[in-house]
Amino acid sequence: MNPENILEIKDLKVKFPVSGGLFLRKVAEVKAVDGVSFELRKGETLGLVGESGCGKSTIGKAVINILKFSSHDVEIEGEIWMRTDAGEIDLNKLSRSEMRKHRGNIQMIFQDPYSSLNARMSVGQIIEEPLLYHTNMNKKEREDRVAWLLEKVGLQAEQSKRYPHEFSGGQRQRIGIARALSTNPKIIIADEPVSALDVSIQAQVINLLQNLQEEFDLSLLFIPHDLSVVEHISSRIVVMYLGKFCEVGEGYRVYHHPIHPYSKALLSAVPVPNPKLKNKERIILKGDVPSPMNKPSGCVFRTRCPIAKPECADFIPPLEEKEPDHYAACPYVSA
Amino acid sequence: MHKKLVEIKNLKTYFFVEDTEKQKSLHLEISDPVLMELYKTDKYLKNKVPAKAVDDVSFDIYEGEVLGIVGESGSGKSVTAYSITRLIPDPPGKIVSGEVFFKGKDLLKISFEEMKKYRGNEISMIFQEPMTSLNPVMKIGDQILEAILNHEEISKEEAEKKAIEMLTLVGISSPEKRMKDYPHQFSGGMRQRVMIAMALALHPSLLIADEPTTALDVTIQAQILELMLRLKREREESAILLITHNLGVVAETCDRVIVMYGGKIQEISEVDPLFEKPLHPYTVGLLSSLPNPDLPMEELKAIPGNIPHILELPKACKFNTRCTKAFDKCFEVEPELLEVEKNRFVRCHLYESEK
Repeated sequence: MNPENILEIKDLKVKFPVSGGLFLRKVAEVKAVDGVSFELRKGETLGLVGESGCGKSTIGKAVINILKFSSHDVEIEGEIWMRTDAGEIDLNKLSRSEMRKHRGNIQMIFQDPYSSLNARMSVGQIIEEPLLYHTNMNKKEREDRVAWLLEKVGLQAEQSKRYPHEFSGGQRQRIGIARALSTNPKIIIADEPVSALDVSIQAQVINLLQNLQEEFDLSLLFIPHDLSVVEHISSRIVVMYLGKFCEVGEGYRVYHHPIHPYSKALLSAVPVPNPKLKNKERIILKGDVPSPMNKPSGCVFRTRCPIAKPECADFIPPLEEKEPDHYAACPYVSA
Repeated sequence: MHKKLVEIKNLKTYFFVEDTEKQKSLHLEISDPVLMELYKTDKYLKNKVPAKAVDDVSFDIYEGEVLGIVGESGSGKSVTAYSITRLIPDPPGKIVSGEVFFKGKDLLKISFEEMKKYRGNEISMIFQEPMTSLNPVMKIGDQILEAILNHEEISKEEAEKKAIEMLTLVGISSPEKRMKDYPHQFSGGMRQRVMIAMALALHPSLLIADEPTTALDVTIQAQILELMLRLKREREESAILLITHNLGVVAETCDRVIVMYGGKIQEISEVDPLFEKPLHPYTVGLLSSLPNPDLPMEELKAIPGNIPHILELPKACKFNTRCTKAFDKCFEVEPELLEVEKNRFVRCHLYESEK
């Protein structure tokens, strides 16, 4: 592993079986993630963007290794190397119990603050639970840590006796963040962490995440729903389409100077809160994303691509370096 | 400016929720004679307190415009729209008082049967969830036909022709074939396009769109918004009331904007001046809490605090708990919605002297 990286993913493929027929045999499979490789550098925020169904959440779940153990039949191929204090480990090779030992290092913040907290546990119990599994702290130490964490995320230590329903959406998301931080993780996967929140509360939670990232030296895999947020928070951005990477590069460059035709269309569709830019050039893609069960041959984007050529059906374009540290998977474009 | 299409005056829509504790002290607080009368006559309201979802809202919708209502959850933006079509579930909701003039007729005074004639024909709605607003066990074509035949006296063949025409218009390919499909065979964006086809099939004068693109991807959102605007341009005298929380969508589609908070209108403005120079501290806060693409990695200027619960709204100014500019008067007197510039209204004590 490169010493700068905390996570290296090599040729990751995630396949979900599709069963059908009389005996519910496997009749097809969906390659939700189709051979992607990337790295998460220490202390950076990597933003994964794409339309629904492009496989961005599946990557997050594959990295934290909960797919394999939550649904059988799902096939995960490839290597997921993580740097830990004990050396480098391929998470994809671990058994369920071995994985549990390492999950303290890699935690997740979920989208829906209403359903991701157990309604029958007090906030203190919710934040304390990971400590029971991942540390050897005694009761007093755990209580101190819960109180400290609550204050870190902008709540009060006294609130640990309360239950989730007594909190608003933004406060619940803060609780979810405190829970994720409890074990001192190195990597946090944030899957749409602010999409359920109101605009004025979103900003609070994003600020909190950024401050905590610095303080806890976290590497963040950020999967946003709102593309204007991704540019604000990400050091690098990956654009995905139907399980493949279209473009990878430094955040500002990708957001403001996208190269791949799909990234261009996707980012031009983001509504800008400035009426003066109302008539900016917008690329409106025709139609919908094709079904991942029968993807187009060759380049997966060719059915909606404004510059598609007949040759695009024949080969799968690899990621090419178009300018330093900026890759795009299309041979017909340049930076 | 064009003619007024809808005129809403002093609309109050309350939801009555059970709260025995608060009920005890309630009679001291009620100053509204209409509400007092309601409590005397309606037995159902025993032990209940009013959640003032829409509290004294007045505004106009002009022909040919796209009027946006922005606000966060609980601001009353959806309830305002539902009150226009009288789709408030009663109980627990009730339009307590107010007037909604549509082409000169008060929709709140007519009978329920008469109201049905307005829905669809004159006023149509598109809802947020394209997944749940279509009937899953009915073919798409039959649902559109049902909408048309319920409101128009034409033969089934004619209605079918019309339905196909509408589906083509909203960009659904091979509509004759797709008419026989069920909603689950459509993607989210296509379902929302079907909803638009249904809503526009009867050429309504007013289209109310409640977060029409919130559940969709940005590429599909761009398609749907463009479609709505294109269809509106083709019919000049119609208007769209667009309810959204996304300020980007507002900037790109609306002509005028209403900003709501705590059940009250806080600011009404044309779209350009609102984004250029927001006046109400809440609007200012809302706009500056958005990520600015020119200043990445800078800390966002969030509005402090949380949105108060609807039963615990503060007295006087509804925003005083989170406002950075609040002073003594803000906690004592509710500010009026004042016209500070032409076509620009603000509810804030800061701008009273300018009048």
